[in-house]
Amino acid sequence: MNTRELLGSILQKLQAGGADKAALSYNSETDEEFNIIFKELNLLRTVETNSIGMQVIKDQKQASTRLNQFDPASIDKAVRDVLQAVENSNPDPAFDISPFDEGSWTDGDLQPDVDQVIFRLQEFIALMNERYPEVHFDGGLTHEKSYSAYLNSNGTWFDKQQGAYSFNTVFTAKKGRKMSSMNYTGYAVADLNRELLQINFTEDLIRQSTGQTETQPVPGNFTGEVLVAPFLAMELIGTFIQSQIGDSGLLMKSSRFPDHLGQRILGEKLNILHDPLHPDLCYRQRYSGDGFKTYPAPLIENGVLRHYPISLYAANKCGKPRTIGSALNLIIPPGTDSLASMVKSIQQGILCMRASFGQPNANGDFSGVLKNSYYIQDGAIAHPISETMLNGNIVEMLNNIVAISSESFNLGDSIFPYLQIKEVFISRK
Amino acid sequence: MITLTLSKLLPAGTEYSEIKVQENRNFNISLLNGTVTANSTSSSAGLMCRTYSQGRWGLASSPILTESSLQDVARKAASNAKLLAEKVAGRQGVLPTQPATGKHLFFTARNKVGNQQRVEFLKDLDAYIAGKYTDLASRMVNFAQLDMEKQILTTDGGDMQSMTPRSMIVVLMTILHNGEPLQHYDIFGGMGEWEDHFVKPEDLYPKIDVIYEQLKEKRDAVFAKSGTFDCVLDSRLAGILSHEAIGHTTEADLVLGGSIAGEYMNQQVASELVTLIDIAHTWDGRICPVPVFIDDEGTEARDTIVIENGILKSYMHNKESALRMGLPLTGNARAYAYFDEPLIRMRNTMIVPGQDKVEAMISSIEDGYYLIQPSNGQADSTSEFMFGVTRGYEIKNGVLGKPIKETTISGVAFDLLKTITMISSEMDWSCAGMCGKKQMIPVGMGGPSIKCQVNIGGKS
Repeated sequence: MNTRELLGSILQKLQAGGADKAALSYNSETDEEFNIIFKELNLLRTVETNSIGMQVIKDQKQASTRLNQFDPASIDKAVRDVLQAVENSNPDPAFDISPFDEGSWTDGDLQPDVDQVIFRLQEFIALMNERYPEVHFDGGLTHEKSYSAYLNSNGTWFDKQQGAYSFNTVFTAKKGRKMSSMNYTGYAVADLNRELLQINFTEDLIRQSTGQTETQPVPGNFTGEVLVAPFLAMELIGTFIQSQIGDSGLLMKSSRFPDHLGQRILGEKLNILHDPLHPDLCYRQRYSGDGFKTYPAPLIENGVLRHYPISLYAANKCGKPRTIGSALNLIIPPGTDSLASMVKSIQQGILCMRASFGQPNANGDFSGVLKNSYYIQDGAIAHPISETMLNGNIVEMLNNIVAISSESFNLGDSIFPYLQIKEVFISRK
Repeated sequence: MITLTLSKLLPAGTEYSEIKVQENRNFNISLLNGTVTANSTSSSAGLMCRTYSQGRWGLASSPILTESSLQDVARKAASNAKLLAEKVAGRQGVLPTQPATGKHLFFTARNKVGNQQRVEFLKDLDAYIAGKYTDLASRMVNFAQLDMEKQILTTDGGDMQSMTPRSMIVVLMTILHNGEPLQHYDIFGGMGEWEDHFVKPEDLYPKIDVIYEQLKEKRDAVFAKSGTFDCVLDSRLAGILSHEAIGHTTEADLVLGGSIAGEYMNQQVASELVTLIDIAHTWDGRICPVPVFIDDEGTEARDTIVIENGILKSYMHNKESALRMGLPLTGNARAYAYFDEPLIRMRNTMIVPGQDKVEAMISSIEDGYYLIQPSNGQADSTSEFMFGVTRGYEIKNGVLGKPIKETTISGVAFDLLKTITMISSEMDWSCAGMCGKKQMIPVGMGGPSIKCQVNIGGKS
């Protein structure tokens, strides 16, 4: 029985059991994960996982289940359980499934090039030991092969095969008893044609850590400009989306922008696109978890909210159209300023490479400890910093963007540049 | 969970192997403003073999729970280890061993409650909130339970079965104040199944009332001043400090990776008042939130006294770190899912209670803060940490003052521990800790309240 037949047979059982509507998802993945531990190739994992998810709507009530044992007895039990659970829920007219559509995609190489994986990792280890002997590091390179499918009772059928490589490394420089804060980076790529160190400025980050064993606090508290590195920009914008214009913020009624489509809510220099077709990505969200094909669209255009990235349920619940759904392939187009010129433009500020911050409160206020970061004075990087905090509000910060860098990090599923943000309060111990 | 006769499937002729069958079961019910938005279950079961050969590890896993599948997985694990050993110069050394056998199954002893009763219980809580607190912008009642059931056999004689459940109800409320959303929540439950914690909805009403009262206080909250202050950290914050900022630096894999604690063995790293322990399973005669009797390498789990009277005494180990450092095993190897390798993980990390009373600790502070409820926390191998604080108060002239807005505290933990001058006598465990070191895994964090100096983030 192939996957479509398997899901079709489950759909029939759910409908025969009384489901008005049902949606099924299937995922299987095989990972070949090569791990560097204590600077050595140390562990090779071959990991197989799979699962089937069932979402059932009956009398406008909803329940769901997920299982990874596909024998007839396990499937029948899951069908019985979810049909019982849906009786126990309560009705909401917002529950629904996607209308008919279909599509099939294959992205990337489905078979790992094991020799090339080992070659690139051994090359990485050798270069690290040669160039940065004071740096402790772990890491891993994984080939991920996945197959996913979606079937619902409106006849919608999607399936997708995908293969890609993902790399990550964690590193700390240590000189005697002095050490840098731990830093990390990672990305996904379609092939292994380049040195791992040369992708996404990885070597720059590692080199920076060797200079971060000697740090100082900033000279005093001040309000200045902050250059936010791409990883952190991604975290801040992800938090903003979730809390202010995504499902969570709208459903919890904690959003400051519950009815602001077409209005400017962020700085006009900022564009945030959802672009699953971007040619530089290797992980593409071809269809969404709620059963819709994806398509390129702006979330934020020159600061104006163009789409709420919300699910079908949240859209129905909030009385809004469901357009782009929960967007995963986020792109901030690069600006025209180089990072170097942005540093030169700052009289007093911070080059913030990483920050450790608490969950912002509902109105967006947060504080974070700056890590692997630098004090900027009179247009130049003065020194790496420690025990320094950034205090701000996510919404205000995204309204205070003064420049966007021409350099970007491509994480494989999203692309982010540096953001230059004004009027951020920095405090020291 | 399907059980297999693992003893006849254990690979022969390897330096060391372990085989595991595991099922993780999740139950989730969520009500948002009265609507059951999630009523779901999930199960993830499978088997795994990990083999050690010439200093390299091979691991393979499969969701297919049959003897032939396990044989295939064992062959693949061995070939993975062999492949690495061929590509990388091998290392010599025999993994240390401290095997244990036993069953530790924490199934509830009470009559099981079905999905319908659980949903009705949660609807009752929701109706109580909706009826009593009509000024809320939104309310959420969420139940989550995770059952981790494992069967592990190792070639050095380890043989364990465990079932460790954890169940929690989270209540979150939102109000609008001057157009700005304010939120507050609390978590109830802990180690055990639903039936072990949630008998009558009315039992939770007083706790829900407290959430609302604390949420109302936030309307008058003031920004904390930025800077370093004398503070009392409630046990929940002291627990996360013990785990994130000290515990991680003393995990031996991080020590081998350069952690600052590698420089401090047998040195004074804290006030003499401080003894910090990673408890395996039992403290003061009571089972801890995450009891580990035998770890995922079949090793007997023992308490690890990390800091004793201010002196750093021990790291936490798995087999490989113990071999590399020539130190005894501690039983800290744990994995989250069937396909995961055991990593060095804390179990139940705490500072041992002292003799002081919280009231006396507060009254001893002229200008500072009483910090009570954490949100998330992070630390790195320097022991520099950051924790979000969602509830706290000013202390002025020894008396609690205004509530403070959500803030962040930070510092270098080994410096902070040296500033501890008072430790309270009470002991409290957090019921909801999850640690994300490559794999997410439940952890226990707790302890007494501590008085120390803390760096606070703020807007002024």
